[in-house]
Amino acid sequence: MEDYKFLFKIVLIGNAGVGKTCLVRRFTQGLFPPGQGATIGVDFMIKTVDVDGDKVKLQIWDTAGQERFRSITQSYYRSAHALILVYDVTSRESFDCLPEWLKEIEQYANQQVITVLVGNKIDLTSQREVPPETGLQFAQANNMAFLEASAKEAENVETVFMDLARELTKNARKYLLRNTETVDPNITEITGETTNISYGGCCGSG
Amino acid sequence: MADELPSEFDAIVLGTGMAESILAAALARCGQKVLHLDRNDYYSGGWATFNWDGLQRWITRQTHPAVQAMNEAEGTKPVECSKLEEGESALSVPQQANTISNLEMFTYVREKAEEPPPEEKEAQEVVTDKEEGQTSGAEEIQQQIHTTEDSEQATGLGESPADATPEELAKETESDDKSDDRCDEKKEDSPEEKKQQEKQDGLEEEKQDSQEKGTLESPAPASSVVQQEKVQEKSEPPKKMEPKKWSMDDIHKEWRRFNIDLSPKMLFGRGSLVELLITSNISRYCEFKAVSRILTLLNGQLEQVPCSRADVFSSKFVTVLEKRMLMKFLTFCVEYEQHPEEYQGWEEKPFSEYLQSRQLTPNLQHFIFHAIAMATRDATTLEGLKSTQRFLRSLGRYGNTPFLWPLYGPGELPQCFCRMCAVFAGIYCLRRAARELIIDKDSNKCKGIVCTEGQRISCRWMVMQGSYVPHMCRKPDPPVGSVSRGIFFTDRSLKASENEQITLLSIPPVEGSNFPVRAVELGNGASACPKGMFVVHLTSQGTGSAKADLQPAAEKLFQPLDGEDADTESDRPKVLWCVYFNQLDTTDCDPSSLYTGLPENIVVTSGPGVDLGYEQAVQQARSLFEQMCPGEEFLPAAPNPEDIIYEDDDGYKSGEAPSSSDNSEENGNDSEWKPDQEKLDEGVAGASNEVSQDAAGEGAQGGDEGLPQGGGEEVPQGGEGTGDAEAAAKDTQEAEM
Repeated sequence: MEDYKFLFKIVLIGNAGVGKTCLVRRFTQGLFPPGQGATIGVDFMIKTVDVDGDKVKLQIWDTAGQERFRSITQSYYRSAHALILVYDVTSRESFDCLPEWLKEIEQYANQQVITVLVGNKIDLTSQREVPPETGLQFAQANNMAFLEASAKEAENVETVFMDLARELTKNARKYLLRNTETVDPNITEITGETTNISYGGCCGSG
Repeated sequence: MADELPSEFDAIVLGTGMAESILAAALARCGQKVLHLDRNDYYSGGWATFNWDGLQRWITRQTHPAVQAMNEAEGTKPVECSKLEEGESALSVPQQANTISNLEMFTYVREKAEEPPPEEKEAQEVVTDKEEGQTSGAEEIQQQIHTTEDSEQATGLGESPADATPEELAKETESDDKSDDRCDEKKEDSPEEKKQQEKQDGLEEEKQDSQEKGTLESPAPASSVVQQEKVQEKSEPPKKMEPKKWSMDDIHKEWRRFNIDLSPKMLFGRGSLVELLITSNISRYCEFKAVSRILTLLNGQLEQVPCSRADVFSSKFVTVLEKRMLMKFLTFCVEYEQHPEEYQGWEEKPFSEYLQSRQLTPNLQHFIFHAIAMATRDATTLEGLKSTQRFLRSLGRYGNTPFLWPLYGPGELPQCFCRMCAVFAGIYCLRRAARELIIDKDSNKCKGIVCTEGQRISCRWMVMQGSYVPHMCRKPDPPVGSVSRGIFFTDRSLKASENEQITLLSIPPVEGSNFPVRAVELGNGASACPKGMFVVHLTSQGTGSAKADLQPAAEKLFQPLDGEDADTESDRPKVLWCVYFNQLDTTDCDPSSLYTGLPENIVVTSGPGVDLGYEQAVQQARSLFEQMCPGEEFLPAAPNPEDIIYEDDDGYKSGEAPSSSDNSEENGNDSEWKPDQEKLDEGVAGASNEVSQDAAGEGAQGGDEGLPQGGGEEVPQGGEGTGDAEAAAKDTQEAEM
């Protein structure tokens, strides 16, 4: 029997090739596939984690390649509780596209969605094109949490998802307290404070 | 993005409407390599749903003179193409859908909330009729859009309108105080959530209200007690909530809260689309709300139609005698084929006369003919019985009406199929289409396309929505029909009720017309518009311009549209803004009557058409699929992500485990939808009523890893799965607060 207290839908976005699928696979399977094949037939991945004694199930959705030609379906964003916006620190272009992604989020995602910005591939130190401060500044200007990570070295990957799980759980619990009577299945009310989540391990740790 | 597309596919699909998207998903699902293109920068083509900005852009595009001119000049002879090889010719593909005509837009409120009350309601005709000059109409419309943008900027952030009521001012200041939208949202949502929980009770009450009211207006004797209630009820709405006075500025500011549908269709609870969503597991991508009430216009009043057994029994609107008659007749309709003697000789005769012959009272005839069968004036008995049966069979599966409404609008549905196609390696590219089709002269087969970026891409099959068919292959004067559409923003509901409703209403054909007008009313709860506003969609078979077809119905529902001040006495909705247009309808046409000389490996799909449901699109996609992939299963259940088997070595293999598919199909049907149904029944169907999440709870034994390592082969039994799904539904609810 499945036993969990909360279920959250987390959605990854960002340019093609920034390592979204690798982040998901590293987190859910502990793998870093060298030759990244297409993820045929895989809709989302699941990982159940423990947050202060509660089992929390994370449903992590990947773009199914639709980001390659800027053609992500709106419904992909619709019921996400959290978004992970990923860029590649070795690709300035992937960073420069972030405003376009924010525009999509603004249009289609729930207004209370939590967004976290992740700069991936920090293991490729010599090829870095986007300094940590630049990422941090952008995140702060847009009310997002920020982390740099490496799917290859498993650096900060766990942190990204676990911080998100904690934040989502915290908000869900708060909601439970406030509304003790009946449960409303409307999209989670992940409230006001979500705009300024402070994450434990910030950019410098990379 | 300058990314090159792969150059070889099994099938290229042009257009992301319903039928094309279902077909694309089905092809990808059985291993075909699919390229799916759309020349628009949005999904769903003629089935799209837009926010306010998107709708304005769409309107501008439809009326842009350059586009119109291009369309007329385009594609009258074979084109030169540098990408051709020996023995090939090229056909140019239209770069703009030519499916919309007679678009007219009207604004009935001020641009800004600044003028003092007397000037309040000025009606501006923004677009002239097509006949009066397409060009000037288009210019005006653009101007209109520009002006409004300017004025929005001019108003700036949080400048309080001079004449705003104290409440409005207070509200504005409040929201300005908040640093961002999220706080605002939270604040606004709380009362509604409570309301939604009370919905069940509210529904009951409301039903009774309307029934009591009905008793009065029907010929049945009325008691004085009921009369008093009526008086109370009448005086209530204005006291309860004065409708907000909207300006265009308000609408512009709330652009993102609109979801406005080009084709406001509904799903029959037991219709083919619902079945397909379930069996294919595509239901995990979409969310629905139950259509909560069906109204009918009887003697100038809007009345709630008793459709379910319980409704009929509890209805005070129909007399005891009528109840018996209605029950008996509806029970017969559910399986009318079993009792041919009941309608022998009537099959091809008018349904209206048949109903008379059954000695049903005029009220009951009205209900059955207009509200349940939603029949055209000249419908035959067989047609009438069939539609009545379809309605009744879908009743109760997901609520007290037969219909479901897709949250965020029907434009989401084609995208769900696109997602499934993409998950199975389909490649998606909006804003790009075929510029030319490459035809092999000898075999008259389509070998591929040259896309708008100049790249040559080959394929074995071409699927295209009708508006992509080269002009060279179209017959002159095809026997096409049209759909007349009207979209109205209003300041209150057609029929006030305690809880917000999703309403379907069929307005009987007016004098001299054969076709009923269908109205769908949506509010904030359906994600259609900001709070306090309603969107009413009118749809009918087109006989002339949309405005001419729909205005008589609009006049019955709304305050006069002639631009006079709002009637403060009237409790009818005031129209704030509206647009009319005609959509080309080829759903009833045989392809051979529309196209000629089309290569045999090109298949063509229709647009939305006038029907309320999705049957036509599903049937079309299915039969085209059978033609293209004979013997293959049409959209089998996609593996549940939790049943996927991972392999330790080179990455992993995707779960093609046949057992998992079988399983999901087995326990997919009811277990997945039951939780959904429960929620819908509670009337709390909300934003994340997601089948996918329910399904996700099903049968997983993942523990901390969340992955059924190897154990995934041993799929949970059907029964177990069902139990889990129920439990999971509760958990999901918890998680979703």
